[in-house]
Amino acid sequence: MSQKGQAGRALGAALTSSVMGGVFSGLLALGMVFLILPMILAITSADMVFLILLGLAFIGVLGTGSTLKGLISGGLGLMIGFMGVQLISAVPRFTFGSIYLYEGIGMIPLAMGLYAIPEMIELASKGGNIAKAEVVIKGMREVLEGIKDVFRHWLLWLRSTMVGYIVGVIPGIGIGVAPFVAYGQAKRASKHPERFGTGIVEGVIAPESSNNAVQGGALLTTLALGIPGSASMAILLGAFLMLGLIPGPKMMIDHLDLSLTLLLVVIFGNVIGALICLLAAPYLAKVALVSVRILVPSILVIILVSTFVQEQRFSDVIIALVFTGLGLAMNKYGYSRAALFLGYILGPLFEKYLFVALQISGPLFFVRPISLTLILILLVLFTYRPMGSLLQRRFKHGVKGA
Amino acid sequence: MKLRGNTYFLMVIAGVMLAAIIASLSMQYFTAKLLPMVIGGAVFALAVTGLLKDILVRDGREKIVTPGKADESEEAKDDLRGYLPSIGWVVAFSLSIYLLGFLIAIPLFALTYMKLHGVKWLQTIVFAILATALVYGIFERLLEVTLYRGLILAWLG
Repeated sequence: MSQKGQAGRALGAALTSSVMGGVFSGLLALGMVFLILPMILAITSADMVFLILLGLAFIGVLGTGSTLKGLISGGLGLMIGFMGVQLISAVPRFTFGSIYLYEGIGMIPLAMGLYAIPEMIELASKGGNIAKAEVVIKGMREVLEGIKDVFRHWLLWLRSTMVGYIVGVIPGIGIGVAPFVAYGQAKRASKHPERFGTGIVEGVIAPESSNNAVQGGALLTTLALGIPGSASMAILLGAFLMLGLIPGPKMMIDHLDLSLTLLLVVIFGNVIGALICLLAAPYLAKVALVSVRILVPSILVIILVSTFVQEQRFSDVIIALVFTGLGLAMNKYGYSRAALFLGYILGPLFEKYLFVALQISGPLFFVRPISLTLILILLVLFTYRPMGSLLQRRFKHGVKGA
Repeated sequence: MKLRGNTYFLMVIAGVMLAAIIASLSMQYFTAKLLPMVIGGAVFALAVTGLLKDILVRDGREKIVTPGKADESEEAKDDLRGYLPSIGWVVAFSLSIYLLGFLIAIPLFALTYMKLHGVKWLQTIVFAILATALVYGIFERLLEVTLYRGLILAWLG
């Protein structure tokens, strides 16, 4: 739409569908809390073991990219999460005799190393500016037209919002997938699918509605089950753990007020964010036109200072640099950094729940209706692709034979 | 047979996981070694599967490579080489923080990075002063965080 000179209309449609999607999904999640509370009470440590496995399996199997790479990434994350002194036995694991590593790898150096620094390196290597050309917004009238477009296509908006919400609820998939799924369904349901990709407003409304709607669903899963629905939720979960709060069924019961407040934050955050974007978008967009030669040192300074500040240890900067190498390689060869981060966050929780379940119920801890259902879902998840292709091949041979 | 970057990466993962499994064996309690061994073993198996898949598929493809066409592993190497100067800058910045501390390393990094990338002197100097002042003002003054002073300043007392 920008290329057609309709940048303002696209901005209006994108912002309105985003904010409405985010608010609707927040309200939906808020309502769902009271609906699922009795179910959450039935979840035990044994079920949590399989819920965590399911979360990791989802991101590996259904996430973008190859299943093998997704599972390797998740496994690597779990192994990084195991570093440090194990709480159950007080045995230091993979610490190489360093007292610094007794507490395990810090979340901030890991996140900075995996995500922030590699992005800066890639940006610096590419050079130039982030945006190729300035987007010209002709006036508020054009933006208002975009806002009206969302109401004209309200059914599309509702469908896309629901897609985003459901994708958000599924553990481990998150924001990366929802816009593609929403765009795909919008194209399939459209009377003129051939016009998608040529700058029509429906192509903006569908992905934008879903990408903010993901947050409500993902936050619900994070709070209720302790399984992050996206990489950003994994960071939020890590922040909770740093504060001594363990998201999951217990948090929903003990800190229901906090859980509800967070869902309200999603709702109000969307509204405030949209207002800021609407008023400041033309100015904020100019950041993308700043030369990388200025942007990279500015952000790099912030990244390294932030890495140091939390624990005030230079070792954190070194750890961030070590994980920068891993982050660069993973990004380049198509491995999921989100899966690794999810594994890292969930690793210690997985271990804790497993041993609690073993202590309470013994080796047959999984013989419970919820656990068995989750195992069944896991089996289906791992077998549906190979089984599908096998059946397809059989069917093709059958047709040829006939 | 030329290998791709991903193949080397999988080799590193398999090697690290093997080392992790061996290290787990010497852990004192069963509860401590159980999951690192199981998960490490699974990741090792997945990495070896990926490795075999990579090598076998590559072997099959190599037979139909058209002469004169850019090899994939060469492209991958080029990309990695492209990252090297930027990685060098990040490492140099971190090293200067380690030796000189944040408040000296930040203007030093800003001046050298921006000047060597062709930014005008005025812009470079203004940025260097502004960045240092902001970091000092926000972290040292407002948040009362003592930023790392560096090894050399520590030696000098």
